Amino acid sequence: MSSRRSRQSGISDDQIANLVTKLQHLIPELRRRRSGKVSASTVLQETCNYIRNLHREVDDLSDRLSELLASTDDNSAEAAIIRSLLN
Amino acid sequence: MASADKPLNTDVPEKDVFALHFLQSLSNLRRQHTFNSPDKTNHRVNKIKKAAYVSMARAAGGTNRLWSRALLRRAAKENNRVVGLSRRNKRVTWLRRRSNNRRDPLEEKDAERLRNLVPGGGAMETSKLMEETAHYIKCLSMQLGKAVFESLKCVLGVRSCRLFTLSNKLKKFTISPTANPSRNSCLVLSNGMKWGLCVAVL
Repeated sequence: MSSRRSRQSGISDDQIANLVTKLQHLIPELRRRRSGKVSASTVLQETCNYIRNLHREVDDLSDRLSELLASTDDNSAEAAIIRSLLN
Repeated sequence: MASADKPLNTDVPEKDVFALHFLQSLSNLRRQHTFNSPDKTNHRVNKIKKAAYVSMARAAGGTNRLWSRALLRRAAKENNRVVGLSRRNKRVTWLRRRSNNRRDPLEEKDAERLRNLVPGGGAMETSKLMEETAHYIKCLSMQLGKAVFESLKCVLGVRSCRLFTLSNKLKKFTISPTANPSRNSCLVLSNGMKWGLCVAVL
């Protein structure tokens, strides 16, 4: 673990820029703006927004799933599918 | 070995792995007999959400990644299980504070926001944070986009005709034509494993 300290001081700005580019490629918003003018700050902000959106999607779909799992309507096709998936 | 030589690895497993873990945890949830009662909605939603995140963390590499480790730790804490590795966190945070001064202050503000979003981010140094974020985003979009959620989204009300395969190991499959066009048909096919599945939505 003590070797970590010397390694940390060796992290260059190039490496940071490299990581920022990598992140940029992952975010759909920024993939279209590949003009190379995107600042690190923008990338980080868009990353935050993107992650928040993803979290929100997870929440929405969890809600829908929970409704579906609780449905007592045995005739609905969806409930049947879910049940067959989970058994 | 200089850190610049270490190649960044942000590979994620196949979407099938995510689907498998998630389906398993969902079916475990269903077996709890208090689960299906219609009056405990919030409780159920939270459990499903937690199952989704935990199964994603497990599928993405268990304890090999800082974010998945932090997620699993958080989940275990909620279940009041014994939690380890807390001492390591403090030391890493101290190291991070020391290197803070050399970073562009503008970047740090955004990085701070990111740290609040990515699980376990508070204990990471900036470059590690970005690597973890990349992996986290990939896993999240894998979990949401292609895996079970997508097929369930389809089941939950899309009228287009689409064919999904979660397993590319399917040897053969059949779709039985149904007289009723609005009926969804779902076939579970496997080559010995329960999770290979093909959903056709009509």
